[in-house]
This record gives sequence, C-alpha cells and structure tokens, in this order.
Amino acid sequence: MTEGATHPDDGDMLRLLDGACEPEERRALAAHLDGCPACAARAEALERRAARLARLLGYADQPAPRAEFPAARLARARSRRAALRWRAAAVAALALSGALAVRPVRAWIVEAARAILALPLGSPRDSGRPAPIPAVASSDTAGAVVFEPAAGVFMVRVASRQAAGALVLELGDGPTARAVVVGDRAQAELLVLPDGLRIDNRPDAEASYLVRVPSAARVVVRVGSETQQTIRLGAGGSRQVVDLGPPRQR
Amino acid sequence: MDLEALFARHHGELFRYVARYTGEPDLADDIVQDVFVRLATRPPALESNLRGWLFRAATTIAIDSLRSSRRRLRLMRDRPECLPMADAPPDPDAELGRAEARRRVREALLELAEKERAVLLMREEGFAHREIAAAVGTTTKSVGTMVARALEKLARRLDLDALEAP
Repeated sequence: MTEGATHPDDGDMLRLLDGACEPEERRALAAHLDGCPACAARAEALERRAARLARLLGYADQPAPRAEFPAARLARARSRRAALRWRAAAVAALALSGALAVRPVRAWIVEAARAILALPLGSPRDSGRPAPIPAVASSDTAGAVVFEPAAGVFMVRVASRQAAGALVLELGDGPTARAVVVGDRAQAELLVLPDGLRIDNRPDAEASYLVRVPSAARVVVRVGSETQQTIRLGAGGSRQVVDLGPPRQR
Repeated sequence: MDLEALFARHHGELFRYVARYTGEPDLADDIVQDVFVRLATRPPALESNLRGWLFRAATTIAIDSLRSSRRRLRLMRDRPECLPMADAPPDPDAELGRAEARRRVREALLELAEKERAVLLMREEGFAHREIAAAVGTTTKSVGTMVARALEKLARRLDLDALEAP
C-alpha cells in the first residue's frame, strides 16, 4: 500500500489482482478491501475494465499470418555480419599499422586496409556478384614482410585451403613485394622465397593475406596441390581476390 | 538453440503483441522476423527468460520501426500518389464493425506512452510484473502503477466502463 495513504491506489490494487504483491502487503490490502466497500468497488471496477480491454483487444486483433521462418533473411544477416567482422579485422590492420616503424610499409598497409574496406559486402552465393573477401573471425593483425624477389615470375604458394579468408593480390609500382596477414597472426606464417612468397597457413585458419606484387612480375598462385593459376593484374593499382575458403562447386 | 522451433512456438504471440503495439499488422510480421534474426546473430549471453528477451527485442525493434514508419508516412502525405491502396474487405458489412473497433483501439493504444503501452500489452500476454519490469527497465511496483494508469486512459478513450460485461 502507498506510504501515508489511507486507501490503496489503483496501482496497488492492480498488483493485488495480478498476484504481484509480497505476502505481507497482500494480507494488508485484502484486509483493507474487506473493511472498505468503496475500495472493494474500485477493485472490482478495475478488474472489470481489464477484462473488457482484453476482450476488445482480442476482437480487434488481426489474424496472424502463417509463420514462415525467415531463413533467407537470416542467411543474409549472417553473411553480412561475417563480412563486417572481416572489415573489423581490416580496421584493426589500419590501427595497428601505426606501430610499424617502416614508413613505406605502414603507408601501404594503411592504403591496403582502406581499399579492402571499400570492397563490397555480401555473400557471393546470395548476390551472384564476384566473390568478396570471405570472413575473418579474429580482429588481430600481423606485421608485414617486404622483399625484392629475384625472378620475373612472382610465385605465391599457399600451403592449404582454410576455413575462410582470401588472398588479395595487387599490383605494385616498383620491384618491391610486400605482404601482410589480416586476421589471427598465429594462423599463418609468411615465408620469403627467392621467387616469391609462401604462406604457411593452417587448414582451420580464417585469416586473409594482402600481397602487393612487383610491377614487372607475372603472378602465379598455387593453393595446396591444386593446379596453379596465373593472375592478371592490370595497371593502375588493380586488385584480384583469390578465395582460400573450402572448395565449393567450382 | 533450435531457432525454427522457437519461431514456431512464439510467432503467434509475438505477432499479436507487435501488431497491437505498432497498430500496423503489415509491419508486425517483419518485426517478428527481425527479432529472430537478432536472436540468431546477437543471441543473449546469459538469458534465463528467453520469452522475456524476445518481447523486449520486439519492443525495441517496434519502436525503431514505428519511428521510421512515421517518417515514411509524413513523406507520403506530401506525395499522396505514393500512398498504398488498401485491399477491399471480403465482406464489407461484416468487417465494418471490426474495422471500426480496430481503428479506435489502435488510436487509443498509440496515444499511450511507449513504456505504458509495452507494460500494458506484455501484461495481456501473461507476463508477471517482475518480468515486465525487467523487460522495460523499471521497478515491479511501477508496473502496477503504469498498467492502472494506462487502463484509466483507455477506459476513458474507449468507453470501457460502458461496454457490456464480459
């Protein structure tokens, strides 16, 4: 009952009607209603109103449509969230790049991460558009390797396909190659070879790899024991994405 | 978590609640679907009362949708040629009384404050006061006060005291 009030208010009585009072309060309110015809009448009126409203609401209800589980919407939302996680990893790359001492490398990572952030979101299975970079679950990001390969053919060897992630290749403007892991650094190691780069990744990895290749090089990529593929990179900072996720119906 | 089973179990009551809350049944079905997309993509960390969580999420999404729907309506009022045409009822005479009741109930509910409306309608769905309090962020005691106040407003607006006894 409201402190200092002689009679309970409608809120108190409604709590009594709905069984929301503590036992002691319930006893006090019930005792009051027993001895106060005016409050008893108010309580009855309140109960009547509530019942009439319930009836009116039911009468005015629109029938519910057939329950159709939103499977397609759910798939789109999951895909979008996965892409957003990948973008978060790119943002982390952007943030962590500030810690790198080598200025040109830092500048490249900043630029590359920004470029990746601009890539379209969505699932290639949903949209039919060219595959964007698959998801990266972790938000940790590794440092970069910078080197000058000796050969005219720039080989990128990826040890195996992985749970998710992609190899992003972009054309540089000089003889230097650069590479960085975006995602969980512990999932892969970048090894510099005379003719290119080897990515020693784990099959359960979800990281992605950004590689800027020398301008004059022909780029060949080999994933695991799959047939190697030649990647054509046009001029003007063009970029190609190689999906490293599990094999699909290719 | 079997989402499809949860959806089948709660769809009807969530639809009813959201349709009453927003007054827009067309919007309600979308909102209910959004609730389950949210449950799948951002599930509650430790939620002992999943039903309460579903209604809380439905209320939040409904408020957002209602606000943007009102913006859309304002825009459409400026361009009446964009207003959607209503479907003709299958039996106009039989539907007339119900349609009128629906309009009056909708208008009366929308005049309540957002929190009052949520509290009142969650009570209609059988939630205990403490569950409602947790869902809307208030005290258990305030729930009784808010429901009583909402009932008072609706009684005046809808002539509840003059209706035939249930």
